[in-house]
Amino acid sequence: MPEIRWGKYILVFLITVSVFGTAFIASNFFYERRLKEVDEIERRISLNLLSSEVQYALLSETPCLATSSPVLGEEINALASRVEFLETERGSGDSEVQFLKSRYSLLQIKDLLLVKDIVKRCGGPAYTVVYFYSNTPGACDACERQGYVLTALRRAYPELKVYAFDYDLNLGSIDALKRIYGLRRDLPALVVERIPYYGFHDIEAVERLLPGISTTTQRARSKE
Amino acid sequence: MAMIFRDIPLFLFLFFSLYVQVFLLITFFEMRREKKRGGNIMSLLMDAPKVDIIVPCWNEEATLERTVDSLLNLEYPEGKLRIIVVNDGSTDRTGVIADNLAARFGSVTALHKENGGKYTALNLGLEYATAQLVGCLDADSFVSPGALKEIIPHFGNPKVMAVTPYITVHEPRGTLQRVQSAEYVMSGFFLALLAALNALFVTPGPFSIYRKAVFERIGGFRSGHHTEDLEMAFRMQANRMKIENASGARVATIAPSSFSSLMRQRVRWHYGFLNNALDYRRLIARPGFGHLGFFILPGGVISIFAALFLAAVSVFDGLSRLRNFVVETLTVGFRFGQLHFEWFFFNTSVFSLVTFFVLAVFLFLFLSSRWFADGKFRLPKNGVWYLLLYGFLAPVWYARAVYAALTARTVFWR
Repeated sequence: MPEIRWGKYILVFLITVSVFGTAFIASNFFYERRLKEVDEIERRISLNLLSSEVQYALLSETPCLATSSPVLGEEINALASRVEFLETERGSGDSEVQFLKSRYSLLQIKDLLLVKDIVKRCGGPAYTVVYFYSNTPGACDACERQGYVLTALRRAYPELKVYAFDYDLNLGSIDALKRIYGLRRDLPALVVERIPYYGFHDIEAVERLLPGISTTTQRARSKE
Repeated sequence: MAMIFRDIPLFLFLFFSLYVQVFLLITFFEMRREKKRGGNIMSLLMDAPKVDIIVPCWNEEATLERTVDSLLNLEYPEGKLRIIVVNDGSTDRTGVIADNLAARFGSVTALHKENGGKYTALNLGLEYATAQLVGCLDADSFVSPGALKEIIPHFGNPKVMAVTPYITVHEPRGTLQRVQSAEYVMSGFFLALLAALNALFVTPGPFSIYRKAVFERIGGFRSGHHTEDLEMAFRMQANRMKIENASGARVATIAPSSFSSLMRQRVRWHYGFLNNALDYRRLIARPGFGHLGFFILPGGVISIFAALFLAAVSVFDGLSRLRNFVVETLTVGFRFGQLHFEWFFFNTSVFSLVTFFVLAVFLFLFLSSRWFADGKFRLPKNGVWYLLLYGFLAPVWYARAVYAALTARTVFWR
């Protein structure tokens, strides 16, 4: 009669479980590393913002002499892509991801306020788009395409700042923004110069909302 | 919903895949440890038993003569080997060629019958077989001169009732035959692992050798859902007859060269496997039938469904990415994406890490299959073709075989 060595099945089972266990530990380790990296970027952005705020406060009479710029678009973009990646990997419901998104949104709002303040005091164009989207299934079919458009514009116009907010994120500051702009739930929604524009806008349509952006970019490129 | 229909089955199938890979890996290490079969070949050959080889053929005019030539060139004592060519109602010159061979060589016998299928031809050959050992050889296969010498010593163990060879693809040409040539290297290795577990469930048509007593005890060949070689091995296992593998016995077979013929062959094989597994389900989950019943058979059936599920998930993910690309291109035009080589964006989920491990073990086994074949620990010849294409080909014939089995549709030989 053919014999079965049960010990072999148990050994194989233990090895298989160990591999899964190791993968679980490794996956968590990499996740923690990612969180740490995101945290570092957020702290860096936060420090930059604070530094800018302090400079403008110190030079309250002549704020436009401040040497340090507000947060760089690339840093916000780097943070955005990382938070988006984590959201895809861990799911929107993950509490850690929700917390990161909230902090990211707050940093964006602070940067937005600072940029507005500088423009108000020192003049010059501010090419900013505040973008409201939703990741809730079925809530915003056009948000995916609107995201592609804004990403493409950000690449084309480095001076353009896009502040993206999840409409459904449970955060008081975002609710305040919605109230300030008088937003209704009709997504995607773009806010330019405090005016909300609803529905999908292609590249040309967004460019029309930001008159002068192409000339500014051309001027900047010719200087380079 | 996605959790129930995707993540949970994915987790279970991944766990199963890893379990199988580790099981095979450990079996491989055990097999390596085992001493190679000893014995003095010459002394065995001096009292070499008589062997009858049945060559069933249906419209094999292109290859029959070469097949018989390869048998005549076997290194085996004169007068101990007889070749029985059975013409199964061929409509081409096969019958004439068989008669010519019988006229030229005293050790060749030609039989003719109405077409009735391969198993009927084999059974007619069995009626004429008188030797202690009886083998069969498909008429599109060619044995190496030392093949029989490698097989016979296994019968030194009175418990061994059949011995299977190591099959390769004859002179692979074209993409599909190249894919199959690497696949056969892996299959040869896999069959040796199964033999080490005493769990072989197929005695392939190309040059499996049986004791005549097998047929006397359990009867001749049956249709076995057009896979008489699977059915015979299942029946032998059900009757607790030991089947071994002689990896040194090399037999080259002509592999299908067109997609349609390959598809027909593989659908038939897997359809046959599923149906024979169903017919012999009494073996499954019965420890009395060893690793075969407890692990290999249920594992084989689950593997087919796991492969189909993983292929479906891959296709779904691929289509989903394609859809995103199309939507992006239609929205903002085609642009080269920014390549992210930052570690941050590598997928390090548990699924991905375990999948990576499973692939690494598979690669190790794939390299080991070459080592098993010729002692070189590297990719089998044409292994790149296999790695590139097999994952796309196999799910198609799995799906068709499962569909045919579920709908009780008949599959055809050719």
